[in-house]
Amino acid sequence: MSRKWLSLACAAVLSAGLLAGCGGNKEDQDSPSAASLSASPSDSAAASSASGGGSQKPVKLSLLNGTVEAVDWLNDQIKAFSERNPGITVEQEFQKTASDVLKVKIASGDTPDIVALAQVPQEFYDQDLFHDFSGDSAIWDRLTDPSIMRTVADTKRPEKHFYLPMTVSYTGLYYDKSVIAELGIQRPDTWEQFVAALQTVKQKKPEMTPLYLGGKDSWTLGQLVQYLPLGSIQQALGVEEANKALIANDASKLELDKAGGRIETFAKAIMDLQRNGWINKNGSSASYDNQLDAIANGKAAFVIQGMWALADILKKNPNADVGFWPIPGLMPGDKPYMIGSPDGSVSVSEKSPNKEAALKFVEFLMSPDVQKSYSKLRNAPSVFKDASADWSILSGDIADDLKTAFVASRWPWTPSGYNSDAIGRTVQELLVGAYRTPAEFAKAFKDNWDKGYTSAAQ
Amino acid sequence: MIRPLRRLHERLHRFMAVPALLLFAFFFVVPLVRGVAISLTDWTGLTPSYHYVGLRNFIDFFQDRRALHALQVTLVFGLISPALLCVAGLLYALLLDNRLMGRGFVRTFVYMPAIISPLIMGYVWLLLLNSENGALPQLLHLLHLDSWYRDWLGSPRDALWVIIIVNLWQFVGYAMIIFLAGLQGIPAEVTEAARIDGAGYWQTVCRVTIPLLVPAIRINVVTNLIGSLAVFDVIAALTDGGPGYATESMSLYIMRASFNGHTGYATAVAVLMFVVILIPVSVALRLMKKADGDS
Repeated sequence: MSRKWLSLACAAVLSAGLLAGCGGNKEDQDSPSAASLSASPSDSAAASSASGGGSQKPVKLSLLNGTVEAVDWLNDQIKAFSERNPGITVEQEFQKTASDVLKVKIASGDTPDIVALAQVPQEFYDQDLFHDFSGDSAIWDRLTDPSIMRTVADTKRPEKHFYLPMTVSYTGLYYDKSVIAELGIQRPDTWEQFVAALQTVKQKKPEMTPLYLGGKDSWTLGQLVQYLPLGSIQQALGVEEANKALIANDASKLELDKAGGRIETFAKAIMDLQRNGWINKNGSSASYDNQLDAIANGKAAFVIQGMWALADILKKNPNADVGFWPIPGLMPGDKPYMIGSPDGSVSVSEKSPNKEAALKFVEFLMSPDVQKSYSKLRNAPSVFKDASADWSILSGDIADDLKTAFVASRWPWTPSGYNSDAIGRTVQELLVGAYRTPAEFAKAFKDNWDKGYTSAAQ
Repeated sequence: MIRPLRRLHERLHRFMAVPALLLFAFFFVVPLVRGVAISLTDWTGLTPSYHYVGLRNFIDFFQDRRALHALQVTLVFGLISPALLCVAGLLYALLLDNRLMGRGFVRTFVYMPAIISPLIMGYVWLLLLNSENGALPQLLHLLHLDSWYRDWLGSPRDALWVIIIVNLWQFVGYAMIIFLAGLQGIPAEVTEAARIDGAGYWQTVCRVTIPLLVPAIRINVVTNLIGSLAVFDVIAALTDGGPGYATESMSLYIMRASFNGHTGYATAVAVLMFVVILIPVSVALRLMKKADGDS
């Protein structure tokens, strides 16, 4: 009998615990007034310390970061910030697929206070989920180039600015300086010149891979599409008009499945590279890391990548003798191409209960000394006048490249349902022979592209 | 006096099940019903609004070449893998049921991979098979067997087989343990009697041991079927569904559709996947029940 009553008591306790665990756990928090970054840091510091630490509630901020290279750097900044602002702690969460994680967090009502990742879906900006920095003249007045503000403006509502850039990142063609000099290869500006260069490397250095692809990480192949055929659209229409056409999926301007058009030409180029042995045979299974290893250790003559890769290349081989050129133009008449777009974006959740503290942290991140260190970390020039640093061994190369290349100030836009990862998988299929002709590839690309537009975005 | 106490006793018994039923409802029934409801909408997962679209998501699935390929990959992996696991697990169990020196060590060694996360196991094998600097190509190079090497993970035809083999290598120990437990439940007199009657080893195994192992076979078939049809981790780690979409399973397809702004559609595919798993498992259970009855 007593065992029965004991069982009954246990069942009751378990039920009570279950129901208590399902209850809300929301703390009452004062909703902060809208704050801007131009508030004086000393005022904020005074406010946070005025109570002598007694009445000020400790604030915990969540930061979602999608850039693996920035993890340690952010931890250092968080530590420095917390020392100056004892009432505020920042908890960093790194996620490789941070864009996907952000979608889940927002859907579950758990939006991070601060978001630091390159690709926030446009749909979230459309819903005003992020703070608009447009009025923060203290930030915008510090830019090295005022046009950067236009570049980071919201694509649908240019008067709004939902994130702050930190550096300008360039994409281009890494090359092995010693081999290129030995073979007497000049900078290839057109695709034909590039193919000739690859042919020369193949003939004279058979042990080397002329152009190395790291296709297992499909985004590397997706970015090839963004640099070559979509970059060609930017050259033809202008960066802003191309952006509008891409967002609107204006078929008459994009001509994605046009016979002999850009996508078909791209597919033909890749098929030719593969057939002639000018790319690595394991192009679809070699990784991004393999790609960097190949250029760092003299196994490849060329790789197409962004400046963000330089730090890892130098880690693999501190004596790597690499240069940086713009990417050869794909279509006749195209100039060599680079993307020089603002990178390292930081956003603040508009609905954050700790928005004031979050903006304070972001203000700290944007300060000159912090930005100098970020510039060196990313091997990219800062967007801020007062944060110039010796950011890369390739800064001279880039200065020369900027004089001759078409420099796109923003990445070619892609639909959220067909981003560079997904595009890259279509190129993987091309590499493994899933498409018999370039026209088949172009058709598949167009079908996937159209499906990638969500009803929310249309 | 006794009857009211008995009624109270019965009510208390029913009340004991309430916490478990609540958990079941919260974690299974409610999500299932909500999932089916979402599968009938065009929800993107990116905005709060959505519209009812009826069965359009389900129709779209059967009209999408990539979706049907994901279904094919799931069925191939989900049916071949459990079969291989059961056969290999049984062979290991038969071998290690004998008094062999070091059998305890071998059992542990064979079982160990099963306790490691499939995602980590996938990454370990990715390092081994990496076409540039993987341990396997390097070993083949050392042994002057370069001609044996192929870029298995870069081949649409071979990649899925690599995943099946990795999965087999990881979980054969788990199947073996279930069979070993079953073997140890078979009285020795039964097999001795068969031997005395003149049956050879394999005759004994086929005619006596296996029929008596039906409960263990049932456990292995059902758990491996469910696990294999829902496979995600090892594919994500080894090939990420590639090259292209050659090894993309339904679970990977669902994840990508959901995160690419087609959450309503992804949920519909998840409902279909539930049916895809339910059918073979139900068939297997019916066959096992029949075999159990016969034996």
